[in-house]
Amino acid sequence: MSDQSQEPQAPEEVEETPAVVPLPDEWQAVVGDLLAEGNSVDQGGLRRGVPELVTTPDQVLGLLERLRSLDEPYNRLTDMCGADLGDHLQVLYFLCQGYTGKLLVVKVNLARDGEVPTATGLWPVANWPEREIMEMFGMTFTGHPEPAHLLLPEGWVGYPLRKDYVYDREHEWTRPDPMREDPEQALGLEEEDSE
Amino acid sequence: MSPIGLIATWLRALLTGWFRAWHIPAVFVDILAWIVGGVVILLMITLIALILIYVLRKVAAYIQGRIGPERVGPYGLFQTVMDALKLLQKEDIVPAGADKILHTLGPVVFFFVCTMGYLVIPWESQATIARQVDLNIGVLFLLAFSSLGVIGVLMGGWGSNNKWSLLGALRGAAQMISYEIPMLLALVCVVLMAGSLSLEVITEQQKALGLLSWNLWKPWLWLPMILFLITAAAEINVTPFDIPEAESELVAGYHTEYSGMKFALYFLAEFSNNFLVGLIFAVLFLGGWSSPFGHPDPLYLPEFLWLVGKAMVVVLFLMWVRWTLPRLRVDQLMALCWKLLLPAAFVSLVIVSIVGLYL
Amino acid sequence: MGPQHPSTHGVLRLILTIDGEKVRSVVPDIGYLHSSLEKIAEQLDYRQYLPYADRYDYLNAMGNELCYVRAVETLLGIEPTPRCQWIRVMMAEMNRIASHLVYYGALAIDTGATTVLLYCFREREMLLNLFEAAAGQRLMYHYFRVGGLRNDLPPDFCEGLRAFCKVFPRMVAEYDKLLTKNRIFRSRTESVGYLSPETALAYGVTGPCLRGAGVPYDVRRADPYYVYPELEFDVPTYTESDSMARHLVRQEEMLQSVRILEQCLDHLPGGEVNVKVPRRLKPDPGEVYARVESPRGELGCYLVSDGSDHPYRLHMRTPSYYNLQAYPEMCTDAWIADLVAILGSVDIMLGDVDR
Repeated sequence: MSDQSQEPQAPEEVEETPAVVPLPDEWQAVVGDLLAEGNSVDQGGLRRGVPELVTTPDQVLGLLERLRSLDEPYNRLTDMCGADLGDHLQVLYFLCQGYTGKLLVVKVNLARDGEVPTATGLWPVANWPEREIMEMFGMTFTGHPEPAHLLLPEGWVGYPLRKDYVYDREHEWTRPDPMREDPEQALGLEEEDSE
Repeated sequence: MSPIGLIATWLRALLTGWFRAWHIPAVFVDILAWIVGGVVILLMITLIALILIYVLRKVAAYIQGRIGPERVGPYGLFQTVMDALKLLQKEDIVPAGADKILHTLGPVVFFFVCTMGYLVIPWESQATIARQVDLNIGVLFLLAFSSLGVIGVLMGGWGSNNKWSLLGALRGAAQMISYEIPMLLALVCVVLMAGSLSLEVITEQQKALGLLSWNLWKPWLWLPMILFLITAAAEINVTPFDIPEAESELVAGYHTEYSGMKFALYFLAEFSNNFLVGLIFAVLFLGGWSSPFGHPDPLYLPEFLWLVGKAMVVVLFLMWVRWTLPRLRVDQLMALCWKLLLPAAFVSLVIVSIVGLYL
Repeated sequence: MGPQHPSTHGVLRLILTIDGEKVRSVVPDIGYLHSSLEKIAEQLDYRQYLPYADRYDYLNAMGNELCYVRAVETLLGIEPTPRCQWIRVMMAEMNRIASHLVYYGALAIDTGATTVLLYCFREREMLLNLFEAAAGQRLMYHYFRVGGLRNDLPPDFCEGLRAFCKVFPRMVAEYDKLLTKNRIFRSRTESVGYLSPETALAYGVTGPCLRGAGVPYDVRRADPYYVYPELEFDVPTYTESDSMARHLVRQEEMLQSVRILEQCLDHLPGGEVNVKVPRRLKPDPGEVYARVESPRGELGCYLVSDGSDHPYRLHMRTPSYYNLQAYPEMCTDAWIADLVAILGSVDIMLGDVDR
């Protein structure tokens, strides 16, 4: 266990003053041909030396699959989240190299009403986070098996985690509660009672 | 004659005298006696249940390292009384979509059935409460009424129109009916040895030498005894077998939708059932009303006190089990009954028969 | 089933298809406790958000604070003092024990044994008293601050903790005898709720659930933070992948945490607990992803700064959220009673799921 954990620590020394970390050389070899295919690899990135790849919606699935099939595969999707960067939205995939601490971030930039292919085919775990991102940011994951609301109630107006979201009391989510108005009708019992 | 018997005889004589003076047919004395007897039994059951609930709470608290009720009255003695009063005041809610008749009848039937069991208990050597009926088939009567309890549970569960109630009731029905069979066989073992179905006769046989003549010390009755304890625990739904009302799974099982007095009826019935099992066990294996120090009682205590005391020991044992063990799953419960208890019951029946032949 | 059900550990709703008592399919329906904690972060400054971090997984408030504080400090480039680091680790481990104790009791309740919960809470009380002495709170501590702690440890804290460390292993042995070794409990948990390592990988399951499937993944070892590299402790794993394995992992972890606590008490250095931080926290633009091991799994905090004094975007990777997704997989061919026991063994925290 411990020698497994020491090994990935080596390339990501905690720096006192984190600065922009260039992508390690080994990475250039790995993603070099991906670059040629038109993916861009960002030179900036997360502090503490976590490498990140930036790509476009139509290429993200290919990239993720590619990362999954590396010799040392990034086969664990540990987290997904969205972000609103003002002029565009972003979807982040946090990938781990199996059960080591090695982390990689794949970022997808897309337009405010953009579409991303779903990653649920690769990782079932993407199901809920994608639904959450959909309802929070208003982007679409094409091919998602059940694109319904997850955390928010059905029929919620607006996308709360967008920067331009304004909570609107006029359009506050209200749904008539059939149980409160007429429980017997709601339960379909009218006929029985009228007998 | 015991104090209760004396009082009963005195009251009866008094009433007969009055009725004769007022030219009322003597039949009404009997009718009045039945009514009074019934009310006394009901009050007693309620009282026992209230005391038991208090004891249960205190024992549970002691086992779990808590304090338990202590605010209402000295040592919290009036807590259960207050709870009962609170339940009396509560609104009686019949859920929309429930079958009103069944919903109401369920707890009544259940309570009635539990009460009936008390009729055949020989409280004292001279005065059984059901003396007028003189049941020489006490064991049979008990079994008959304990199987009827299922109907009350089913009525409540079905009538509530609630998924948890229904599941609980179905579980309860399956469990009670299954566990009845090994229980019956265990009881038959005792009956075989006693040669009588009457609980009084069974008690009489155990009184001669006090403690030493109890059925508890007869090795061939150990297996039936254990079987009876297990199956009885299943019949009254205490913890390893409390799946019909499993809180963590079925909310409250068949009485999920009950409130107020109807809930109180289920609750009381359950506790009186609990005590009934203690009583039956005491009668069958612990010598009933007879004193453990030989017959006649060297301490001159009222005989029913011995019975109640012995029953309390059994009830406390069941409570101890209740707060210790986790709950079985439905399939495991059934497997336990049909694969282990039933064969064991048959084996014990054979053993007891052979022993009975040669003893 | 749910959301108002006694054993859904909060307000979880499970949409069940049942065939008699057999469960055919389970669909968890979440969101009843959603409180938009991520959006709130964007309105508050970095310090103000700290109490909110407690609210994610309210049984592991210290762990959440640790994760958030670590993210903010990395963003600011602050290194806490050694004493502060040791105390933080100590608090996180104490909270791990407290959280596992609640889990232990809850699973016992779920399987019908009520007494164990009270026993667990008896020991948890000792921990909560210690927390109260240190932070003034019993559940939502708000004890960690950016750059340090609210205050140093109170005078007799270490003695109290030592006393706890002394009695606790005995108490775990008692729970073990009372619950884990019980035949009924074993039959309720063994070979129930099977989660294969492959499924765990596909669903991003972490924490004791993963270690119960035989994978020795622990953020404290895989991506060590603070003083964990100096500490001696084992990462318990069981390969049975059932509810019992997960249960045993947690039971073992409590003892390992006691080991860590004892080492912390032995090595606790003196000195200051706080470093100087500017009055207004304005980190440089950038982003950070900090991870810690919470009692329920990998807890991550993704924090984006745009140079102002409030987070631009905050996202928490909450372990219960991902563990719960794998729950239907564990419930194939379960009984209704198992459903509850499996949920108990997954140990979700709805505040952690819904956020």
